[in-house]
Amino acid sequence: MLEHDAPADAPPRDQVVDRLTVLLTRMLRPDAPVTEQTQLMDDLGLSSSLGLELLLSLEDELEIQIDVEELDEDRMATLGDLADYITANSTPR
Amino acid sequence: MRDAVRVWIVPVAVPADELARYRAVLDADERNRAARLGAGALRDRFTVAHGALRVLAGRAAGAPPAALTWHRGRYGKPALTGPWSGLHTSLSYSGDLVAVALSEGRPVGVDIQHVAPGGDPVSASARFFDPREARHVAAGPDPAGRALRFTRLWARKEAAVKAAGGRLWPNLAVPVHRADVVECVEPAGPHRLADLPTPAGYAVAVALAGDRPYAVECHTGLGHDR
Repeated sequence: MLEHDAPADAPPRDQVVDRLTVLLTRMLRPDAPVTEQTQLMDDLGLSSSLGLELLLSLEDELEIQIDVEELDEDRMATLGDLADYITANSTPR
Repeated sequence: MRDAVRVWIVPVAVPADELARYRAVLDADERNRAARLGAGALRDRFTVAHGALRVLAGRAAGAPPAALTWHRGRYGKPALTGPWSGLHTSLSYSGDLVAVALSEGRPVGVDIQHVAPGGDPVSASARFFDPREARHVAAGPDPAGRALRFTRLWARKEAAVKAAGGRLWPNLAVPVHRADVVECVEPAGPHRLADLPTPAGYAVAVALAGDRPYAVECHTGLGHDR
């Protein structure tokens, strides 16, 4: 079955969720477990500069390039939202 | 008379009674957001930041701090509503400091950034910044110098985007290094940037909509008039 909306060879969404969870836990050491429903700014206090570090680390780990032209705060409200965006807006490098 | 922007740099570490005074002026939504950040430093920083913004904006507007209301624009930029809409506000926090900026008439953006030791400023700027800016960061004399160059540029970019009410990510490649008047991609329009004198380990920049020069008044702490 094809992932709808995902460009060819984009990383599977599950893999993006998994790496985001690990990276956010490592960077921010939150009290509660990080899940797809975790609000990045409202629960974790993620700043824009840490957001940049997060995207850069993810690009390196998954060997992808994320197109940030359409990225805004609404599209990274929760970890699940950001995973959706990345799955639909990244290409392998 | 020249336009002016007023900026306050406020420490996050405050005595318990001052923290309680800040908490007392927050609205229900801000209290909920503070509570979601847990019980530690993140929550207290949020409380001081939003409390200080309310105290300072209330003082400038001649209104009770708790009465002020903001409306969020398309990309989340908050603007004071009703009788206070001529007063423009911007808020930023990083590390142990909060920055609040107020401007009459011209939309304002302020950004404070702690120069963090981690991360890779050379890769980050190569990936997201204008190539000339990436070269400027890479040419820093040592790791601390490169981190400082990156952080200064980042603060300028965020300040301009916040004044414009735009999205940060599509505007990251807009050059801000050489000139103080910059054009965001969207919403389009010139903004004038200024760097502020900052405590060691931080970078602070402010931007006002429009290209006209302005004076910057920088204050440390809230002053005595509570």
